[in-house]
Amino acid sequence: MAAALWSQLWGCAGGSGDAKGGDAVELFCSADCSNAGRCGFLVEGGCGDRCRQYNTALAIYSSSYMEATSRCLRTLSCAAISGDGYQECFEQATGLTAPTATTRAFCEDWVSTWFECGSWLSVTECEQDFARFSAQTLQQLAQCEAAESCQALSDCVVATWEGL
Amino acid sequence: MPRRTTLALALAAVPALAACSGGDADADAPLGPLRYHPVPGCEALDHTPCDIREATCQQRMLEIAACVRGSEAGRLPPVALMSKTAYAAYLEEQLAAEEPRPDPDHLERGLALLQLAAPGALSPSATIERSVDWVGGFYRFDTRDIVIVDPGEPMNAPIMNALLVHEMVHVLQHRDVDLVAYYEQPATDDASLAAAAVVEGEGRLHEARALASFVGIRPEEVDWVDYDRAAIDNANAWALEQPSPYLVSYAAVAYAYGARFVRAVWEADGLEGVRALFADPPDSTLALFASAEAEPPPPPREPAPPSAAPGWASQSEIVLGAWGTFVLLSLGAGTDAAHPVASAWRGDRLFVYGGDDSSGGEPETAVVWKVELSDAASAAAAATIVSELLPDANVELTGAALVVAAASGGATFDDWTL
Repeated sequence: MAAALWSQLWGCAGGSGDAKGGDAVELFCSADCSNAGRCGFLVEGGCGDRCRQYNTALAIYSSSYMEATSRCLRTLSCAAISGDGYQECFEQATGLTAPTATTRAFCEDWVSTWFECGSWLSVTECEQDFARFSAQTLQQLAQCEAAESCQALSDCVVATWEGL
Repeated sequence: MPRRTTLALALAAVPALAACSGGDADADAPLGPLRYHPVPGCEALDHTPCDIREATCQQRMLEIAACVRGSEAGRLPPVALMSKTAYAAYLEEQLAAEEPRPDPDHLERGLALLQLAAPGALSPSATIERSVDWVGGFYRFDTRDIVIVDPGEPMNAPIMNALLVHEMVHVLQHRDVDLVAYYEQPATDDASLAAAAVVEGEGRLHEARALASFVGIRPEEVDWVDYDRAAIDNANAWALEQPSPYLVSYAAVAYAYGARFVRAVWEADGLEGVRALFADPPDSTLALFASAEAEPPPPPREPAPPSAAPGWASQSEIVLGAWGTFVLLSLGAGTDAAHPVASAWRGDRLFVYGGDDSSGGEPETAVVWKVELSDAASAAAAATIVSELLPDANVELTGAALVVAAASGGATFDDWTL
């Protein structure tokens, strides 16, 4: 899913520079425009603005996940940037992002709700899966826990993902 | 009261400390290991999932099973791991030792006439395929050992731990009750299924409570009514998706319906109530449909056999029960419409006949299903559903009784007394 979310739009020079902390979109765009610059992919100005405009979907991720992703992106060769490197960085960062107390609190409720619908998902697995998402994303998903039935829960989660 | 005041002050201090260190620090702090919440009453036992191939883990699962059902753990039984391929070979060996199915198999054809089974569904290969598809493990009465059929899950996964607890419950059941003799008592297929629901239902009840703990949630906070409802909905949906829905009855009914049935007894009468079920198991699956009702269902009625026309010979006779009726009606009208009608089941017989082969061709098969319901309205609803599902069948409605007759090869029932 993560792999399909970003958009590499390198029609720029410079961009927003190195972000220290900041939100997920900013972190990604900083690394993305830096890559574009060092590999000579920039053809016009406004890389940072354009990147932020086209990658708002990355706001579903936590800063810590995107920091890990960005660190990986910055190490990619120019050939890897043109290949599967971005996807690999997004996947690799999933395993490097530690769950937080927010993740655990979300997962205890999430697992409990899904357990009553026959799911075997564990809190540990949930933490590994959801550590990459921002607190706001988790909060939006958690609203589905009030669903009246398992089908309604499933429908709500699908609709929420689509709306994020 | 003083304790509560102290606690309130301590909690009040947390936000202040967090604010000093910068906003959302607590929420983003690294986590310690997950704390597992034991099944209530078994707090002395570690509920952290473990690798079920290890003897220490197996011992712990046995102790958890013993604790949740109030038994002595006793000696650890042998636990073996079997691949799905090896399990298929094991089943093949077991089936080879049994009497082969008749040829032609009129029961299989009869079930197919009612859309309850696919052609070839009782062949050894189809039987093996069905079992391999859903069996996760089993307890062998003769050797008193447990076999886990490797599903490809990590062996320390919560579900694998819960599976082993389930099988350990069977070990403990068999120490209390001779399960071989228990399974020999029921007189009909439907009664056997209901009896199995006690055995597997108790296994699932304790398995599910342990699973809640193993996945990291509090078993006492689970809404078990919702859990059972979802499990039954899932089992119904799964069974109805199968090419031979009636032939997966054990998998669909014994566990999900069984767990709800046993849980109701356990909540009302405790572990002693559950143990008493082994001395007096339900005599039909109607009891499983009606587990929320206070009154036990009436004893099943036995419709009289039809009088077959010359040239037809009786081959077999089974009871579909409330469950089989539910499956048949669900195939025609969906589960919501089928459930109230199946709950009105009061008795049935499915009579299977084989025609003579005097013409030299393949003998034909005929089935006559005679079912009695609690009221005429339910019987009329069943007749409507079956007529639409099986447009070539004869459907006769008399008060609360329904007769459905179907035959292969365009055979008619003109000379029969149904």
